[in-house]
Amino acid sequence: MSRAAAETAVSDARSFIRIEDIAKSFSGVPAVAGVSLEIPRGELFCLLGASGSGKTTLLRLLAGFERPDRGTISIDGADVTAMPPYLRPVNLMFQSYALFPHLSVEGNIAFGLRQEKLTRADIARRVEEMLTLVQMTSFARRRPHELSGGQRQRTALARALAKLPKVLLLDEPLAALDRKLREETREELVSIQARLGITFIVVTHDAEEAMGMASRIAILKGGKLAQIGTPAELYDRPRSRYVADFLGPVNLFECEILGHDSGSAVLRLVDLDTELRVRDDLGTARTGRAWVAVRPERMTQTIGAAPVGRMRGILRAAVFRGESHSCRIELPSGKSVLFTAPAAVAIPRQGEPVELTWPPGAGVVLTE
Amino acid sequence: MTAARAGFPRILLGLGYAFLYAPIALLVIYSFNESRLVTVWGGFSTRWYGEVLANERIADAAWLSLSIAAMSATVAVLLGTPAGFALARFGRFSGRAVFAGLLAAPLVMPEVITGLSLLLLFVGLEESIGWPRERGMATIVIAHVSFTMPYVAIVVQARLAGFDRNLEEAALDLGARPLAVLRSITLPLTAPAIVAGWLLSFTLSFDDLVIASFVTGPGATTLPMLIFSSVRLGLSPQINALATMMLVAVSLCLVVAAWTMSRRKPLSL
Repeated sequence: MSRAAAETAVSDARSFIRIEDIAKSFSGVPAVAGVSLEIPRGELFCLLGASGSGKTTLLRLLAGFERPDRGTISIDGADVTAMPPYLRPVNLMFQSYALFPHLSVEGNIAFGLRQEKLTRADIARRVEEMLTLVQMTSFARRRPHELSGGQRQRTALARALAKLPKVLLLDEPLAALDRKLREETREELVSIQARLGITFIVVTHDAEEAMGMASRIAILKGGKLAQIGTPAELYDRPRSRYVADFLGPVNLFECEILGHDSGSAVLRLVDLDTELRVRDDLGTARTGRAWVAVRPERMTQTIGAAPVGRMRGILRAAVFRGESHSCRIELPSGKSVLFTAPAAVAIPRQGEPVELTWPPGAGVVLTE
Repeated sequence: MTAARAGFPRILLGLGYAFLYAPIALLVIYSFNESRLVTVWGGFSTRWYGEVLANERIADAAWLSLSIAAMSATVAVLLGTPAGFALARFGRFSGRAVFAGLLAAPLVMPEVITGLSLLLLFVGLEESIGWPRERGMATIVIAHVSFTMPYVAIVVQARLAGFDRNLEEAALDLGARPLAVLRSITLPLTAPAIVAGWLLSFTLSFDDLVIASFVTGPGATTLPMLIFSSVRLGLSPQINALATMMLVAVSLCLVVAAWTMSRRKPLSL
């Protein structure tokens, strides 16, 4: 490696993995259409998207199973775009786990190590470490079809980690598990990632799952990057209606942009017929439509004067969720508004009027 | 009433089975007949088995048949396995339909035609390039490969159709080069089909009479040919014993073939 390249690799910790303008189509249909990403070392990064968003294709491009039509991928300063999967410092945990049915748990974990020139003793030691890491020591001799779903998942994880790759790719790692196990396994994945310090890239379609484990999330839509940020940034400061809606229930209030003056914008909320003055971060002097996004749990029932966006509607549905009630009211305009009331608060009965508002700062103005 | 209704189909079923298997059962029973006359029961005996084993002509023919079956099955596997891979893996390559059709054609081709056309080929070859100088074992092996290979291809293709491609990608991902993937993942998981294909080919070759009769020469008499020619001189209890032994051998092959193929549980994991 040249001196210059070595220096870039060391100095540029922010771009341990650098994906530049990568694109891939299958028989003319673009699956990934120009994505650029930088992922620092040691991060637990999530690629989140609905089916058809290109997240799996992006993962397969990283693993080396697909060649991009254009763009480059580099890992730790080395360009791997044209490198075949068996030479990449990357391992993949398959959604189906893809455990070798004719090999035992041990044999599966040792498979990758056997491809390197390691001594038998070294292989045995590494296999032992991995079995301990995923708590599968007592199942070492079992065949995959003799294991439960959770045990298969842990075997697949151990096999993918055995070579201590620079990057571990995980394709829907929790999708095949039942709900309770999913929760435990998510915590386990996070703790293993923290312990080993290996960069994890997790592909998932489940926003809750992504927010529960990732240090940063990239949301993909139609083969393009919709937004990238920490879970809190994406949840609280989405930049589009798609992102706001994808990460959880949200109320979108349509409004007209009336004008801009001295750093603030004036909006008129269509359904509430009130005006709203917000900090002008809408970019250039736009006019036309915009939306105010407010999460149901940020909505509050008003007592007395409301600071912003006061609305009055009829309670249509209330679902008890243990720690809270999920409620829906209907405004006179016909629009439904969701709000979450703490379980301790008494809620009105169905059909009764409710007044709602949101505190300053709870709403986000979106223009797309 | 119900019993009578249930009884009638049972009787039909029994008649059907009898039609199919009574002759074979009779053959097996009469192979243990003490009497020299095939149609007269003279008490239980295994003497004909002893005579079969002591008969050198039968031993030679059996050895020839086994060698031919083993060789043609091996060649059929070597040619049929890649054909099965091509059908299962290469997607819709141009000429695939023709390839699949031509590969399957020998399965339905009348044996007489296969035998006759191969005989014409061998005669023509002898006249033009001087080989085969003499028809016999080699020509029978070639003929048998031509009609057993499709069975191997089809069995292998069926196995690969249920093969999870992710397994091979996982092996690549773990650092195995393509050749190592073939050796350590694809072949071990396809092995049951290859073994089953070999056993099927072996069985088909072992009991073939028609095609072998066309392409054989003076020196080579296979077991089915020997049995057929001696039956023309009259039924003999020795032949019953020999036929029973063949029956057992062939059934064993088929049972093992079916068993190896049925062990596919790990694949559907």
